[in-house]
Amino acid sequence: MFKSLIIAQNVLRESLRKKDFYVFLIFLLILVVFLANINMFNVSGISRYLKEMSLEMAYLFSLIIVIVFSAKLMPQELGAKTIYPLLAKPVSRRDVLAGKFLGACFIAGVCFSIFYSLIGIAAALKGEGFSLDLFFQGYILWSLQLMLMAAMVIFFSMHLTVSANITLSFCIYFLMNWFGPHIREISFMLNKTSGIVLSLFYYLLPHFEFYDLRTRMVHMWTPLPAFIMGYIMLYTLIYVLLLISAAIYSFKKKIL
Amino acid sequence: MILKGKTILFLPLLILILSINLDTYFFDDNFKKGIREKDILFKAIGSFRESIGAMVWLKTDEYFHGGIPRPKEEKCLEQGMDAEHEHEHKERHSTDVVRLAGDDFIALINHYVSIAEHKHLSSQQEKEIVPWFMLAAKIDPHNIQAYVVGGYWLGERLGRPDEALQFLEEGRMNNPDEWQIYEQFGDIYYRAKQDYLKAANYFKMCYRLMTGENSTVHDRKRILTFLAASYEKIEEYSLAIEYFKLLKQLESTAGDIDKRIKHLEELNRKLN
Repeated sequence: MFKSLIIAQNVLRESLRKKDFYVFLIFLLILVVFLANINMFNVSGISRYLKEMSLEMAYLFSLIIVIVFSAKLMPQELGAKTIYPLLAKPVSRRDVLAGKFLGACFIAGVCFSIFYSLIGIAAALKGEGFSLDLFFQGYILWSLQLMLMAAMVIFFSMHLTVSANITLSFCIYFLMNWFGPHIREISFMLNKTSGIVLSLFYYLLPHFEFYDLRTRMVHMWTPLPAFIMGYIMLYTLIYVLLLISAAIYSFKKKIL
Repeated sequence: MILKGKTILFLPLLILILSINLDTYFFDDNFKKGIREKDILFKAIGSFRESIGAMVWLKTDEYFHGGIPRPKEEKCLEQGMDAEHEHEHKERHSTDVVRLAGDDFIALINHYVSIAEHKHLSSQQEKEIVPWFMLAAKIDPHNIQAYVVGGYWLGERLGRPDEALQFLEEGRMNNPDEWQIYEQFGDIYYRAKQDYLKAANYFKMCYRLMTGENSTVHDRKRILTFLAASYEKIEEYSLAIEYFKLLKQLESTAGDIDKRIKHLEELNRKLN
Protein backbone atom coordinates (compact mmCIF):
# COMPACT_ATOMS: atom_id res chain seq x y z
CA MET A 1 0.00 0.00 0.00
CA PHE A 2 2.81 2.36 0.96
CA LYS A 3 4.56 1.67 -2.36
CA SER A 4 1.34 2.39 -4.24
CA LEU A 5 0.95 5.67 -2.36
CA ILE A 6 4.44 6.78 -3.39
CA ILE A 7 3.65 5.95 -7.03
CA ALA A 8 0.35 7.84 -6.73
CA GLN A 9 2.16 10.83 -5.26
CA ASN A 10 4.55 10.85 -8.22
CA VAL A 11 1.65 10.62 -10.67
CA LEU A 12 -0.02 13.61 -9.03
CA ARG A 13 3.20 15.65 -8.96
CA GLU A 14 3.89 14.86 -12.60
CA SER A 15 0.38 15.78 -13.72
CA LEU A 16 0.30 19.08 -11.83
CA ARG A 17 3.55 20.05 -13.56
CA LYS A 18 1.70 19.89 -16.88
CA LYS A 19 -0.35 22.86 -18.06
CA ASP A 20 -3.63 21.04 -18.78
CA PHE A 21 -5.29 21.59 -15.43
CA TYR A 22 -4.42 25.29 -15.37
CA VAL A 23 -5.86 25.79 -18.86
CA PHE A 24 -9.19 24.32 -17.70
CA LEU A 25 -9.10 26.32 -14.48
CA ILE A 26 -8.52 29.61 -16.31
CA PHE A 27 -11.26 28.75 -18.80
CA LEU A 28 -13.71 27.99 -15.96
CA LEU A 29 -12.72 31.17 -14.14
CA ILE A 30 -13.35 33.27 -17.27
CA LEU A 31 -16.71 31.54 -17.79
CA VAL A 32 -17.83 32.09 -14.19
CA VAL A 33 -16.79 35.76 -14.20
CA PHE A 34 -18.48 36.30 -17.56
CA LEU A 35 -21.72 34.58 -16.49
CA ALA A 36 -21.82 36.37 -13.15
CA ASN A 37 -21.54 39.75 -14.84
CA ILE A 38 -24.28 39.46 -17.46
CA ASN A 39 -26.91 42.14 -16.92
CA MET A 40 -30.33 40.47 -16.90
CA PHE A 41 -32.55 43.52 -17.44
CA ASN A 42 -31.38 44.96 -14.10
CA VAL A 43 -33.01 42.06 -12.23
CA SER A 44 -30.64 41.14 -9.40
CA GLY A 45 -30.10 37.85 -7.57
CA ILE A 46 -30.50 35.52 -10.56
CA SER A 47 -28.07 32.69 -10.08
CA ARG A 48 -29.47 29.34 -11.23
CA TYR A 49 -28.20 29.73 -14.80
CA LEU A 50 -24.74 30.45 -13.38
CA LYS A 51 -24.89 27.39 -11.13
CA GLU A 52 -26.09 25.16 -13.93
CA MET A 53 -23.66 26.26 -16.62
CA SER A 54 -20.60 26.41 -14.40
CA LEU A 55 -21.39 23.04 -12.78
CA GLU A 56 -21.81 21.55 -16.25
CA MET A 57 -18.38 22.85 -17.22
CA ALA A 58 -16.72 21.76 -13.96
CA TYR A 59 -18.15 18.26 -14.38
CA LEU A 60 -17.08 18.09 -17.99
CA PHE A 61 -13.58 19.43 -17.38
CA SER A 62 -12.91 17.08 -14.48
CA LEU A 63 -14.21 14.21 -16.60
CA ILE A 64 -11.92 15.14 -19.51
CA ILE A 65 -8.95 15.43 -17.15
CA VAL A 66 -9.55 12.07 -15.51
CA ILE A 67 -10.23 10.21 -18.76
CA VAL A 68 -7.29 11.65 -20.68
CA PHE A 69 -4.81 11.30 -17.78
CA SER A 70 -5.89 7.78 -16.83
CA ALA A 71 -5.82 6.61 -20.44
CA LYS A 72 -2.20 7.72 -20.80
CA LEU A 73 -0.86 6.51 -17.46
CA MET A 74 0.04 2.90 -18.33
CA PRO A 75 0.69 3.21 -22.09
CA GLN A 76 3.17 6.05 -21.36
CA GLU A 77 5.11 3.89 -18.91
CA LEU A 78 5.09 0.97 -21.32
CA GLY A 79 5.88 3.06 -24.40
CA ALA A 80 8.78 4.97 -22.81
CA LYS A 81 9.96 1.71 -21.20
CA THR A 82 10.16 3.44 -17.80
CA ILE A 83 8.17 0.52 -16.43
CA TYR A 84 11.34 -1.67 -16.42
CA PRO A 85 13.35 0.34 -13.88
CA LEU A 86 10.17 0.65 -11.82
CA LEU A 87 9.57 -3.09 -11.77
CA ALA A 88 13.25 -3.77 -11.14
CA LYS A 89 12.74 -2.28 -7.66
CA PRO A 90 10.87 -4.33 -5.07
CA VAL A 91 7.55 -3.19 -6.46
CA SER A 92 4.98 -5.66 -7.77
CA ARG A 93 2.83 -5.12 -10.83
CA ARG A 94 -0.18 -4.89 -8.51
CA ASP A 95 1.49 -2.04 -6.59
CA VAL A 96 2.25 -0.18 -9.82
CA LEU A 97 -1.30 -0.44 -11.12
CA ALA A 98 -2.89 0.35 -7.76
CA GLY A 99 -0.53 3.35 -7.46
CA LYS A 100 -1.48 4.60 -10.91
CA PHE A 101 -5.16 4.26 -10.05
CA LEU A 102 -4.73 6.12 -6.76
CA GLY A 103 -2.76 8.79 -8.61
CA ALA A 104 -5.59 9.21 -11.13
CA CYS A 105 -8.03 9.52 -8.22
CA PHE A 106 -5.84 12.15 -6.56
CA ILE A 107 -5.63 14.18 -9.78
CA ALA A 108 -9.40 13.95 -10.26
CA GLY A 109 -9.99 14.85 -6.61
CA VAL A 110 -7.66 17.86 -6.62
CA CYS A 111 -8.98 19.26 -9.92
CA PHE A 112 -12.64 18.71 -9.09
CA SER A 113 -12.29 20.13 -5.56
CA ILE A 114 -10.77 23.35 -6.93
CA PHE A 115 -13.41 23.68 -9.68
CA TYR A 116 -16.21 22.91 -7.23
CA SER A 117 -15.04 25.38 -4.58
CA LEU A 118 -14.81 28.10 -7.23
CA ILE A 119 -18.44 27.48 -8.26
CA GLY A 120 -19.59 27.29 -4.63
CA ILE A 121 -18.06 30.71 -3.92
CA ALA A 122 -19.45 32.26 -7.12
CA ALA A 123 -22.97 30.93 -6.44
CA ALA A 124 -22.92 32.16 -2.85
CA LEU A 125 -21.79 35.63 -3.93
CA LYS A 126 -24.20 35.94 -6.84
CA GLY A 127 -27.51 34.65 -5.49
CA GLU A 128 -29.20 31.98 -3.44
CA GLY A 129 -26.11 29.70 -3.30
CA PHE A 130 -26.42 25.95 -2.76
CA SER A 131 -28.16 23.91 -0.08
CA LEU A 132 -25.25 22.70 2.05
CA ASP A 133 -26.46 19.07 2.22
CA LEU A 134 -26.82 18.84 -1.53
CA PHE A 135 -23.53 20.63 -2.15
CA PHE A 136 -21.83 17.98 -0.04
CA GLN A 137 -23.76 15.10 -1.65
CA GLY A 138 -23.01 16.45 -5.12
CA TYR A 139 -19.31 16.61 -4.27
CA ILE A 140 -19.22 13.05 -2.90
CA LEU A 141 -21.14 11.56 -5.81
CA TRP A 142 -19.18 13.27 -8.57
CA SER A 143 -15.89 12.32 -6.84
CA LEU A 144 -17.12 8.72 -6.77
CA GLN A 145 -17.97 8.93 -10.44
CA LEU A 146 -14.47 10.20 -11.25
CA MET A 147 -13.02 7.32 -9.25
CA LEU A 148 -15.18 4.84 -11.15
CA MET A 149 -14.23 6.44 -14.45
CA ALA A 150 -10.51 6.25 -13.58
CA ALA A 151 -10.88 2.55 -12.77
CA MET A 152 -12.74 1.87 -16.01
CA VAL A 153 -10.22 3.78 -18.15
CA ILE A 154 -7.26 2.06 -16.49
CA PHE A 155 -8.91 -1.30 -17.11
CA PHE A 156 -9.45 -0.41 -20.77
CA SER A 157 -5.86 0.83 -21.08
CA MET A 158 -4.71 -2.75 -20.56
CA HIS A 159 -6.48 -3.79 -23.76
CA LEU A 160 -6.92 -0.70 -25.97
CA THR A 161 -4.84 2.06 -27.50
CA VAL A 162 -5.02 5.52 -25.89
CA SER A 163 -7.32 7.03 -28.52
CA ALA A 164 -9.65 4.01 -28.61
CA ASN A 165 -9.78 4.04 -24.82
CA ILE A 166 -10.67 7.74 -24.62
CA THR A 167 -13.34 7.42 -27.32
CA LEU A 168 -14.91 4.32 -25.79
CA SER A 169 -14.92 5.80 -22.30
CA PHE A 170 -16.67 8.97 -23.45
CA CYS A 171 -19.16 6.92 -25.48
CA ILE A 172 -20.03 4.75 -22.47
CA TYR A 173 -20.32 7.79 -20.24
CA PHE A 174 -22.71 9.66 -22.52
CA LEU A 175 -24.65 6.52 -23.47
CA MET A 176 -25.26 5.58 -19.86
CA ASN A 177 -25.92 9.12 -18.76
CA TRP A 178 -28.55 9.74 -21.41
CA PHE A 179 -30.10 6.33 -21.89
CA GLY A 180 -29.00 4.34 -18.81
CA PRO A 181 -32.36 4.29 -17.02
CA HIS A 182 -34.29 3.45 -20.20
CA ILE A 183 -32.19 0.53 -21.50
CA ARG A 184 -34.23 -1.95 -19.53
CA GLU A 185 -37.55 -0.54 -20.71
CA ILE A 186 -36.29 -0.82 -24.32
CA SER A 187 -35.13 -4.40 -23.74
CA PHE A 188 -38.73 -5.41 -22.91
CA MET A 189 -39.85 -4.14 -26.31
CA LEU A 190 -37.30 -6.19 -28.29
CA ASN A 191 -37.27 -9.88 -29.16
CA LYS A 192 -35.87 -12.35 -26.63
CA THR A 193 -32.22 -12.50 -27.81
CA SER A 194 -31.83 -8.75 -28.33
CA GLY A 195 -33.63 -8.16 -25.04
CA ILE A 196 -31.16 -10.40 -23.17
CA VAL A 197 -28.16 -8.68 -24.80
CA LEU A 198 -29.53 -5.25 -23.88
CA SER A 199 -30.30 -6.39 -20.32
CA LEU A 200 -26.69 -7.57 -20.03
CA PHE A 201 -25.51 -4.11 -21.03
CA TYR A 202 -27.92 -2.65 -18.50
CA TYR A 203 -26.46 -4.67 -15.63
CA LEU A 204 -22.81 -4.74 -16.74
CA LEU A 205 -22.13 -1.14 -17.78
CA PRO A 206 -21.59 1.38 -14.99
CA HIS A 207 -24.61 3.60 -14.40
CA PHE A 208 -23.12 7.06 -14.55
CA GLU A 209 -26.54 8.66 -14.25
CA PHE A 210 -26.52 7.92 -10.49
CA TYR A 211 -23.89 10.54 -9.83
CA ASP A 212 -25.36 13.64 -11.42
CA LEU A 213 -27.22 15.75 -8.85
CA ARG A 214 -27.07 18.99 -10.84
CA THR A 215 -30.84 19.45 -11.22
CA ARG A 216 -31.35 18.84 -7.51
CA MET A 217 -28.57 21.24 -6.61
CA VAL A 218 -29.47 24.01 -9.02
CA HIS A 219 -33.20 23.98 -8.31
CA MET A 220 -32.91 23.45 -4.55
CA TRP A 221 -34.67 20.10 -4.31
CA THR A 222 -34.38 17.89 -1.26
CA PRO A 223 -31.16 15.92 -0.67
CA LEU A 224 -30.98 12.19 -1.41
CA PRO A 225 -31.90 9.82 1.44
CA ALA A 226 -28.88 8.47 3.30
CA PHE A 227 -29.56 4.85 2.34
CA ILE A 228 -29.46 5.74 -1.38
CA MET A 229 -26.11 7.47 -0.84
CA GLY A 230 -24.98 4.27 0.86
CA TYR A 231 -26.20 2.12 -2.06
CA ILE A 232 -24.39 4.28 -4.59
CA MET A 233 -21.18 4.21 -2.56
CA LEU A 234 -21.38 0.43 -2.28
CA TYR A 235 -22.16 0.08 -5.99
CA THR A 236 -19.13 2.23 -6.86
CA LEU A 237 -16.83 0.43 -4.48
CA ILE A 238 -17.77 -3.00 -5.85
CA TYR A 239 -17.41 -1.78 -9.42
CA VAL A 240 -14.03 -0.15 -8.78
CA LEU A 241 -12.70 -3.24 -7.00
CA LEU A 242 -13.82 -5.49 -9.85
CA LEU A 243 -12.34 -3.25 -12.54
CA ILE A 244 -9.03 -2.72 -10.76
CA SER A 245 -8.72 -6.45 -9.96
CA ALA A 246 -9.40 -7.24 -13.63
CA ALA A 247 -6.84 -4.62 -14.69
CA ILE A 248 -4.24 -6.03 -12.26
CA TYR A 249 -4.91 -9.53 -13.57
CA SER A 250 -4.48 -8.34 -17.20
CA PHE A 251 -1.30 -6.46 -16.28
CA LYS A 252 0.14 -9.52 -14.58
CA LYS A 253 -0.58 -11.60 -17.69
CA LYS A 254 0.92 -8.98 -20.01
CA ILE A 255 4.26 -9.89 -21.57
CA LEU A 256 6.55 -6.89 -21.21
CA MET B 1 3.27 21.27 -33.67
CA ILE B 2 1.61 24.44 -32.40
CA LEU B 3 -1.40 22.45 -31.17
CA LYS B 4 -0.07 20.29 -28.39
CA GLY B 5 -1.79 18.15 -25.83
CA LYS B 6 -5.22 19.24 -24.73
CA THR B 7 -5.03 22.58 -26.51
CA ILE B 8 -6.64 20.63 -29.33
CA LEU B 9 -9.71 20.12 -27.14
CA PHE B 10 -10.45 23.82 -27.40
CA LEU B 11 -10.42 23.74 -31.18
CA PRO B 12 -14.05 22.52 -31.52
CA LEU B 13 -15.10 25.18 -29.01
CA LEU B 14 -13.34 27.87 -31.02
CA ILE B 15 -14.95 26.60 -34.24
CA LEU B 16 -18.36 26.60 -32.54
CA ILE B 17 -17.98 30.19 -31.31
CA LEU B 18 -16.77 31.29 -34.74
CA SER B 19 -19.57 29.47 -36.55
CA ILE B 20 -22.22 31.04 -34.29
CA ASN B 21 -20.84 34.50 -35.08
CA LEU B 22 -20.72 33.79 -38.81
CA ASP B 23 -24.19 32.33 -38.63
CA THR B 24 -25.50 35.42 -36.82
CA TYR B 25 -24.12 37.60 -39.60
CA PHE B 26 -25.54 35.56 -42.46
CA PHE B 27 -28.80 34.57 -40.78
CA ASP B 28 -29.99 38.12 -40.11
CA ASP B 29 -28.82 39.41 -43.46
CA ASN B 30 -30.50 36.69 -45.46
CA PHE B 31 -33.64 36.50 -43.42
CA LYS B 32 -34.42 40.06 -44.46
CA LYS B 33 -33.56 39.45 -48.11
CA GLY B 34 -35.72 36.35 -48.29
CA ILE B 35 -32.84 34.18 -49.57
CA ARG B 36 -33.28 31.83 -46.64
CA GLU B 37 -36.01 29.75 -48.25
CA LYS B 38 -34.03 29.18 -51.45
CA ASP B 39 -30.52 28.42 -50.27
CA ILE B 40 -29.91 24.99 -48.74
CA LEU B 41 -26.79 26.11 -46.86
CA PHE B 42 -28.55 29.03 -45.23
CA LYS B 43 -31.52 26.84 -44.55
CA ALA B 44 -29.28 24.30 -42.79
CA ILE B 45 -27.47 26.94 -40.75
CA GLY B 46 -30.75 28.65 -39.99
CA SER B 47 -32.35 25.39 -38.88
CA PHE B 48 -29.37 24.63 -36.64
CA ARG B 49 -29.75 27.99 -35.02
CA GLU B 50 -33.50 27.56 -34.61
CA SER B 51 -32.98 24.12 -33.06
CA ILE B 52 -30.48 25.45 -30.53
CA GLY B 53 -32.81 28.38 -29.83
CA ALA B 54 -35.72 25.98 -29.32
CA MET B 55 -33.64 23.86 -26.93
CA VAL B 56 -32.75 26.93 -24.91
CA TRP B 57 -36.40 27.97 -25.01
CA LEU B 58 -37.43 24.63 -23.49
CA LYS B 59 -35.16 25.47 -20.57
CA THR B 60 -37.53 28.30 -19.65
CA ASP B 61 -40.32 25.79 -19.18
CA GLU B 62 -38.03 23.39 -17.32
CA TYR B 63 -36.88 26.12 -14.96
CA PHE B 64 -40.47 26.99 -14.20
CA HIS B 65 -41.06 23.35 -13.21
CA GLY B 66 -38.00 23.05 -10.96
CA GLY B 67 -35.54 21.92 -13.62
CA ILE B 68 -37.58 19.02 -14.97
CA PRO B 69 -39.72 18.82 -18.12
CA ARG B 70 -43.38 19.67 -17.66
CA PRO B 71 -45.08 16.71 -15.97
CA LYS B 72 -47.39 14.50 -18.03
CA GLU B 73 -50.34 15.30 -15.76
CA GLU B 74 -50.05 19.01 -16.47
CA LYS B 75 -49.85 18.41 -20.22
CA CYS B 76 -52.98 16.25 -19.99
CA LEU B 77 -54.78 18.97 -18.07
CA GLU B 78 -53.85 21.51 -20.71
CA GLN B 79 -55.29 19.19 -23.31
CA GLY B 80 -58.60 19.21 -21.47
CA MET B 81 -58.43 15.99 -19.45
CA ASP B 82 -61.16 15.81 -16.81
CA ALA B 83 -60.40 15.49 -13.09
CA GLU B 84 -61.35 11.81 -12.82
CA HIS B 85 -59.22 10.83 -15.78
CA GLU B 86 -56.39 12.93 -14.36
CA HIS B 87 -56.55 11.13 -11.01
CA GLU B 88 -56.56 7.76 -12.77
CA HIS B 89 -53.60 8.88 -14.88
CA LYS B 90 -51.64 9.97 -11.78
CA GLU B 91 -52.38 6.68 -10.02
CA ARG B 92 -51.30 4.64 -13.01
CA HIS B 93 -48.12 6.69 -13.42
CA SER B 94 -47.08 6.34 -9.78
CA THR B 95 -47.90 2.61 -9.75
CA ASP B 96 -45.71 2.14 -12.83
CA VAL B 97 -42.80 3.89 -11.14
CA VAL B 98 -43.14 1.90 -7.93
CA ARG B 99 -43.43 -1.38 -9.85
CA LEU B 100 -40.34 -0.56 -11.87
CA ALA B 101 -38.46 0.66 -8.80
CA GLY B 102 -39.22 -2.55 -6.97
CA ASP B 103 -37.86 -4.65 -9.81
CA ASP B 104 -34.11 -4.14 -9.35
CA PHE B 105 -31.65 -2.02 -7.42
CA ILE B 106 -30.63 0.11 -10.44
CA ALA B 107 -34.23 1.19 -11.04
CA LEU B 108 -34.62 1.78 -7.30
CA ILE B 109 -31.58 4.10 -7.18
CA ASN B 110 -32.72 5.86 -10.34
CA HIS B 111 -36.16 6.33 -8.85
CA TYR B 112 -34.65 8.26 -5.94
CA VAL B 113 -31.97 10.11 -7.91
CA SER B 114 -34.32 11.35 -10.62
CA ILE B 115 -36.93 13.89 -9.50
CA ALA B 116 -40.47 12.53 -9.55
CA GLU B 117 -42.13 15.37 -7.66
CA HIS B 118 -43.54 18.50 -9.20
CA LYS B 119 -43.24 22.15 -8.23
CA HIS B 120 -43.52 25.60 -9.73
CA LEU B 121 -41.19 28.49 -9.05
CA SER B 122 -42.24 30.61 -6.11
CA SER B 123 -42.80 34.33 -6.70
CA GLN B 124 -39.31 35.12 -5.35
CA GLN B 125 -37.75 32.58 -7.69
CA GLU B 126 -39.61 33.53 -10.88
CA LYS B 127 -36.74 35.75 -11.99
CA GLU B 128 -34.63 32.61 -12.56
CA ILE B 129 -36.22 32.05 -15.97
CA VAL B 130 -35.09 35.45 -17.29
CA PRO B 131 -31.68 34.31 -18.65
CA TRP B 132 -33.25 31.58 -20.76
CA PHE B 133 -35.74 33.62 -22.75
CA MET B 134 -33.09 36.29 -23.14
CA LEU B 135 -30.66 33.70 -24.52
CA ALA B 136 -33.35 32.03 -26.67
CA ALA B 137 -34.11 35.39 -28.30
CA LYS B 138 -30.40 36.14 -28.77
CA ILE B 139 -29.80 32.80 -30.47
CA ASP B 140 -32.91 32.93 -32.63
CA PRO B 141 -34.11 36.53 -33.03
CA HIS B 142 -37.20 35.24 -34.84
CA ASN B 143 -38.46 33.23 -31.88
CA ILE B 144 -41.64 35.23 -31.31
CA GLN B 145 -42.66 33.20 -28.27
CA ALA B 146 -39.41 34.09 -26.49
CA TYR B 147 -40.09 37.81 -26.90
CA VAL B 148 -43.77 37.57 -26.00
CA VAL B 149 -43.35 35.37 -22.93
CA GLY B 150 -40.22 37.29 -21.90
CA GLY B 151 -42.13 40.56 -22.18
CA TYR B 152 -44.96 39.14 -20.08
CA TRP B 153 -42.67 37.89 -17.29
CA LEU B 154 -40.59 41.03 -17.16
CA GLY B 155 -43.45 43.47 -17.44
CA GLU B 156 -46.22 41.79 -15.51
CA ARG B 157 -44.69 39.25 -13.15
CA LEU B 158 -41.35 40.82 -12.26
CA GLY B 159 -42.51 44.44 -12.24
CA ARG B 160 -40.03 45.64 -14.86
CA PRO B 161 -42.27 47.20 -17.55
CA ASP B 162 -39.56 49.49 -18.92
CA GLU B 163 -37.13 46.59 -19.39
CA ALA B 164 -39.95 44.54 -20.90
CA LEU B 165 -40.70 47.29 -23.42
CA GLN B 166 -37.01 47.50 -24.28
CA PHE B 167 -36.90 43.73 -24.85
CA LEU B 168 -40.09 43.82 -26.93
CA GLU B 169 -38.71 46.68 -28.99
CA GLU B 170 -35.77 44.43 -29.88
CA GLY B 171 -38.29 41.78 -30.88
CA ARG B 172 -40.29 44.27 -32.95
CA MET B 173 -37.16 45.39 -34.83
CA ASN B 174 -36.39 41.77 -35.72
CA ASN B 175 -40.00 40.82 -36.45
CA PRO B 176 -41.91 43.91 -37.54
CA ASP B 177 -44.88 41.96 -38.92
CA GLU B 178 -45.67 39.73 -35.95
CA TRP B 179 -48.89 40.79 -34.23
CA GLN B 180 -48.11 38.86 -31.02
CA ILE B 181 -45.33 41.31 -30.16
CA TYR B 182 -47.66 44.32 -30.58
CA GLU B 183 -50.23 42.56 -28.40
CA GLN B 184 -47.64 42.20 -25.64
CA PHE B 185 -46.69 45.86 -25.98
CA GLY B 186 -50.37 46.76 -25.62
CA ASP B 187 -50.75 44.42 -22.67
CA ILE B 188 -47.88 46.06 -20.78
CA TYR B 189 -49.15 49.56 -21.48
CA TYR B 190 -52.67 48.50 -20.46
CA ARG B 191 -51.97 46.49 -17.32
CA ALA B 192 -48.56 47.52 -16.01
CA LYS B 193 -48.21 51.14 -17.13
CA GLN B 194 -51.93 51.97 -17.43
CA ASP B 195 -51.19 54.19 -20.42
CA TYR B 196 -54.39 53.38 -22.31
CA LEU B 197 -53.73 55.62 -25.30
CA LYS B 198 -50.47 53.81 -26.12
CA ALA B 199 -52.13 50.49 -25.33
CA ALA B 200 -54.90 51.31 -27.84
CA ASN B 201 -52.34 52.25 -30.50
CA TYR B 202 -50.47 48.98 -30.08
CA PHE B 203 -53.65 46.89 -30.04
CA LYS B 204 -54.81 48.68 -33.20
CA MET B 205 -51.50 47.91 -34.91
CA CYS B 206 -51.80 44.34 -33.72
CA TYR B 207 -55.35 44.03 -35.09
CA ARG B 208 -54.22 45.41 -38.47
CA LEU B 209 -51.55 42.69 -38.76
CA MET B 210 -53.96 39.89 -37.90
CA THR B 211 -55.29 37.78 -40.74
CA GLY B 212 -57.36 34.63 -40.94
CA GLU B 213 -54.16 32.62 -41.49
CA ASN B 214 -51.90 33.94 -38.74
CA SER B 215 -54.51 34.14 -35.97
CA THR B 216 -57.61 32.41 -34.67
CA VAL B 217 -61.05 33.92 -34.04
CA HIS B 218 -60.31 33.64 -30.34
CA ASP B 219 -57.15 35.78 -30.80
CA ARG B 220 -59.05 38.44 -32.72
CA LYS B 221 -61.81 38.51 -30.10
CA ARG B 222 -59.23 39.04 -27.36
CA ILE B 223 -57.52 41.89 -29.19
CA LEU B 224 -60.83 43.59 -30.03
CA THR B 225 -61.90 43.35 -26.37
CA PHE B 226 -58.70 45.02 -25.20
CA LEU B 227 -58.83 47.58 -28.00
CA ALA B 228 -62.38 48.59 -27.17
CA ALA B 229 -61.61 48.61 -23.44
CA SER B 230 -58.56 50.85 -23.99
CA TYR B 231 -60.67 53.40 -25.91
CA GLU B 232 -63.33 53.20 -23.22
CA LYS B 233 -60.70 54.04 -20.58
CA ILE B 234 -59.61 57.18 -22.45
CA GLU B 235 -63.27 58.13 -23.02
CA GLU B 236 -63.11 57.71 -26.79
CA TYR B 237 -66.54 56.11 -26.65
CA SER B 238 -67.33 56.23 -30.37
CA LEU B 239 -64.15 54.27 -31.17
CA ALA B 240 -64.85 51.85 -28.33
CA ILE B 241 -68.37 51.26 -29.74
CA GLU B 242 -66.92 50.69 -33.21
CA TYR B 243 -64.61 47.93 -31.93
CA PHE B 244 -67.29 46.37 -29.74
CA LYS B 245 -69.47 46.16 -32.86
CA LEU B 246 -66.65 44.35 -34.67
CA LEU B 247 -66.36 42.02 -31.68
CA LYS B 248 -70.11 41.40 -31.80
CA GLN B 249 -69.75 40.07 -35.34
CA LEU B 250 -67.34 37.39 -34.07
CA GLU B 251 -69.36 36.40 -30.99
CA SER B 252 -72.12 33.82 -31.21
CA THR B 253 -73.83 35.06 -28.01
CA ALA B 254 -73.60 38.80 -28.11
CA GLY B 255 -76.05 39.75 -25.29
CA ASP B 256 -73.39 41.18 -22.97
CA ILE B 257 -71.76 43.12 -25.79
CA ASP B 258 -75.09 44.70 -26.71
CA LYS B 259 -75.52 45.87 -23.11
CA ARG B 260 -71.99 47.26 -23.12
CA ILE B 261 -72.57 49.10 -26.42
CA LYS B 262 -75.80 50.62 -25.08
CA HIS B 263 -74.00 51.76 -21.95
CA LEU B 264 -71.21 53.33 -24.02
CA GLU B 265 -73.69 55.06 -26.31
CA GLU B 266 -75.32 56.63 -23.26
CA LEU B 267 -71.95 57.80 -21.97
CA ASN B 268 -71.10 59.18 -25.39
CA ARG B 269 -74.36 61.14 -25.52
CA LYS B 270 -73.67 62.62 -22.08
CA LEU B 271 -70.14 63.57 -23.09
CA ASN B 272 -71.32 65.33 -26.22
